[in-house]
Amino acid sequence: MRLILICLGLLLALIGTGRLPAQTLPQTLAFAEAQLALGQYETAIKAYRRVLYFGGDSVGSAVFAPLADCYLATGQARQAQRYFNLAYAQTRDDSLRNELLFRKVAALLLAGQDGLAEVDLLSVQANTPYFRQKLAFYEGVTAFQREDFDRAERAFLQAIDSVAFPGSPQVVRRLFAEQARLRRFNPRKVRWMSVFLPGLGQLYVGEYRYAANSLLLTGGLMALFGYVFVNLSLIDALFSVMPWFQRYYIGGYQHAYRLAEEKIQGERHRIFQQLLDEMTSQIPGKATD
Amino acid sequence: MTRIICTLFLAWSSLLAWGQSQSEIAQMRGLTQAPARPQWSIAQDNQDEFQLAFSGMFLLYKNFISSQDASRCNFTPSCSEYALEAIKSRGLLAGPLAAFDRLSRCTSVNQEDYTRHPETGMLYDPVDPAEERLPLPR
Repeated sequence: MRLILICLGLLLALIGTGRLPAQTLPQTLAFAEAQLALGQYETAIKAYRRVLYFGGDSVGSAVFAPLADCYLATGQARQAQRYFNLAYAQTRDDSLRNELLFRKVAALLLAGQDGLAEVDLLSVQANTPYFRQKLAFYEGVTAFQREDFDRAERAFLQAIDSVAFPGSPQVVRRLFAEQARLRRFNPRKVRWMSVFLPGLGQLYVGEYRYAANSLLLTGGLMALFGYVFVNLSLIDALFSVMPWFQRYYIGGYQHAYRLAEEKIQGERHRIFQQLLDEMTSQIPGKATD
Repeated sequence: MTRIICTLFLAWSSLLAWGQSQSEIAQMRGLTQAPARPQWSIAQDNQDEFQLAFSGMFLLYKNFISSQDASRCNFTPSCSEYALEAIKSRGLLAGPLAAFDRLSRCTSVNQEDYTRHPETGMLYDPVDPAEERLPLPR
């Protein structure tokens, strides 16, 4: 009797399993899309990958682009590029191809591959004002990243809406003029200034505390050198104080070089953010900041 | 009247020609970074006056002496950070001894005895031996 009951139970279990509703590919795809819309990118990635695994190439066109978007949103730029490439290869519509190219360019820029981004921008077919404006924006960003500031200025001037915002060209020109003035903080020049007089380079880049610090430290060691030389001997001074002086004198001008680099980096960051602020303020429907 | 119509038309066409979304522009903001100045968190959260005094000396050294020096320490954490951490975790007797031990090891002759820290590329030598066992890529 017990055996019969076990067999009956097993039979019912098998029948039940066979009737269990499995999640279909369209359901998983809908779930992935819902997660993407909610901004749950990691969950969306898992769901899209599941669709790709079970659906194969037939579902690629529906999955590659949103999957790439998820990777881009989570900062996985290389994976994003891969799937944008696949999506691009499967798309025949010119407008969609342009949009995919722009998103791929964003992924390349975020991955630090400015050169490849520049190459991909050449493939954009900017045949409408919408795409021309968008292309100009990405060209501006790419040229800025590649430190080709003349080209970046031209591209940003093209990207902004100077009809609705007549003050914008002046803002862009002013920001690029500020960028051009950063050349005076040439790190090598600043380093030579500190070689000539400890602290001078730091003073030039506006780091007054470090300037005074370097001057006092090396000046103090120099005074100590003189004191030991006068009260003991030149040999004593050379062996006991000179290595310390040399260490902080060299460290001082190397620090001046780094400070000049940081100054340029900080100013460039500010200028770039202000350029983006200017672009953001022009988005239709968004109030000017 | 013609001027008003033309202006309205131009404004309307410029709306149509706008390509970027706010999120697209926001994404590009991460392309540049402001330079980061070092923050020494180890000098915070002092339990007693001794720790406060050593943290003060550490900050004085870092701000006015070490900042004027080229990067010479071979280790992560640096010898001064190691010393302060050792004094804070092992006390006033064993802490300075550990710091002197570290200073005696800060040479370029024994690099094969240490793993390299994945972020800094320097030799990894934490105060707490338990941290040393963390899997780090060689």
